[in-house]
Amino acid sequence: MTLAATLLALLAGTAGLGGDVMTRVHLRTAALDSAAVSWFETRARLDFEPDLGDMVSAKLGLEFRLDPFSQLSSAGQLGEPARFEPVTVLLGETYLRVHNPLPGLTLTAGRQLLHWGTADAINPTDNWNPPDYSDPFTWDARRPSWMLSTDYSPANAFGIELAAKPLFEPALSVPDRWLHVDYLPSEAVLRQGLVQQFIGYGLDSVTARLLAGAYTINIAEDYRSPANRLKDMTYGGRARTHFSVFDLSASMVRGYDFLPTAQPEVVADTATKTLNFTLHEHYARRTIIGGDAAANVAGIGLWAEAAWSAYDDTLPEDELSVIGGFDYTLAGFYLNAQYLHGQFPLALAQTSAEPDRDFLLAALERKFFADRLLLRAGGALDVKHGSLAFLPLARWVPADAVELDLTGLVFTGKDGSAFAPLDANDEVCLGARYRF
Amino acid sequence: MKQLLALLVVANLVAALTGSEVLDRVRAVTNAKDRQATAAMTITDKGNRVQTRALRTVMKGDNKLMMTFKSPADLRGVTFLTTSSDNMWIYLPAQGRVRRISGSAVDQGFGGSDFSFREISNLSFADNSATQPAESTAVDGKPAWFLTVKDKDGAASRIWVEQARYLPLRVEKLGADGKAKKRIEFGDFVNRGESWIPVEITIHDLSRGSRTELKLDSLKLNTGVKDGYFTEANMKKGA
Repeated sequence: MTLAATLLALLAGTAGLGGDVMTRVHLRTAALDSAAVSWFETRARLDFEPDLGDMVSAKLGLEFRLDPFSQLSSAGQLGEPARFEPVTVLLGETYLRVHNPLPGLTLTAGRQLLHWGTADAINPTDNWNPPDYSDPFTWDARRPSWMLSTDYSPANAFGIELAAKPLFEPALSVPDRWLHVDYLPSEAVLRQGLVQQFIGYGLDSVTARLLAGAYTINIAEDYRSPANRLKDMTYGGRARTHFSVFDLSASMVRGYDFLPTAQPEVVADTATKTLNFTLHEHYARRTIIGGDAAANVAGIGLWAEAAWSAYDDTLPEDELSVIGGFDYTLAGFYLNAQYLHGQFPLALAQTSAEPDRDFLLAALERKFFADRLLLRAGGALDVKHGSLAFLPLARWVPADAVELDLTGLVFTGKDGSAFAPLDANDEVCLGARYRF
Repeated sequence: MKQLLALLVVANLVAALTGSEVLDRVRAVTNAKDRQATAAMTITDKGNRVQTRALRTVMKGDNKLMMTFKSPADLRGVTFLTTSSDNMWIYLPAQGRVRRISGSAVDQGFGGSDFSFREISNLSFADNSATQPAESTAVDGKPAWFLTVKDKDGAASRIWVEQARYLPLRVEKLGADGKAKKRIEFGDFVNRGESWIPVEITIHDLSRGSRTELKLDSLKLNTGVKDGYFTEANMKKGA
């Protein structure tokens, strides 16, 4: 890391080079005697943007993620430094962009981020880049994707965007260390299911157990990723305009869910006494019709965004996601509130059996000492079930481009509520970021 | 005798000017078809701690403005666009999206400076209208006009204008209680053709005790910037 820091310091002086270094540690606080570090990563992002003139711009981005959790499982591995400090290198935004080959036209080819929507942090119409759930504190992070995109804005009041993404890339999931999810049932669970089934047929529990014990249980996963054929690519377009104090856009995207839909299949063969469990996982193809609006009315910023997802198959069911909100500043306090009907953008919420939920999201913040200190109280409420995610933040900016964060993650919720899977994940987080 | 008569005629002409006429002349003198410049912003807080920013700015007429921060690193690429006092947007590279700046947020600090979004977009007084006749006064010994103006949202300001060239010298932004909350000083005017452009603008936040200096450099006027330049797509590219 010392070498990496030195390299970064040297490169920081290079024209067109920027980026940041971030490190954060999460301490799980369920009980003091068992408090443990649940997430600890250092991430360094390097973006090189050479000056190619007014007509062309380019970007080369790299991201290094250092996970300091040792992956040693044997004393024989002590000579393998990659197991002490596993580093992942990811390609960031890497593209070539041509400006104004025709007046108002921009063409971009390469690995890029394309954000749509006007709502704050949660955008039902934003379906181009796979979510990056690997940082449990950041809900709206996305990974860049290989795509071709064009933006034609002949005037301030009107613009059209078209894009095509030939390759499918799924979401990056939250680390198993932070939130363990059993995707496949264990043999014991399946055998217990057989016992219950036999009892249901009228057998006594002893006979049912004996009979179930004689079964051979096979567990398999049938994972299918979309083919990278032209007809399977993701494509779409968006038209946007503004008049008076309103910004409006309408969009369509033909693409895939970023997390797979799981369909279990259980086949019991009484003749061979075999139980075959197969979890079929596929990424559902869908067409998303969306629209959004933002306005400035009487000193209040208002926005609304909606997307209708029509799936090709019967599972999952078609769904509507709607979010509306406002922000307002008064006496130095900034208030931001949104109401969401739809999926919460967190990997765990996707595991819920009940897809549609209603959430109230709100944040109140204020800056002090010439904007050097930011205090924010924010969270999300699962309205129907009453569960809550509370995320307080204190950020100190001791110098330009340096941020020190003290944050918290507090979850409450009974079984069946959106945040119930996180009930034991209350955490205190310390973080630092330096941009250069 | 003739000289006295001439002075009286000039005095009468001067006295006949209304606040709106003075304001119109200020706009005419300080205007240009378009202007491009780099800018250095220096923010000095109450404790004399200094922060600096580098920007590039492109303006057309008196209401279309795009400004992009080039430094520091945490603001690099942040771009502000306004086409009228009701329409302001900001592009935040970290979020990758353009967001409308809502009504209340237009009074927030622009890039951590003492300029609000509203103030930085109205340095040419496009949104102001005079509410009272111009009064003759003096600033630093120079004859000056004193005007009271209001913007379209009703916020009042006092403006001092140099009588000889109709250049704005000082503006005081008034709060609801009629007291000055901020003071803007214009200086080092550069003459290009018929335009006089202030290349040093300093704003003082009188309640916070801080100030921000904006110095323009590499000023280019009337280069033929098109209306189509001020678009969302160009915000992502930057001014």
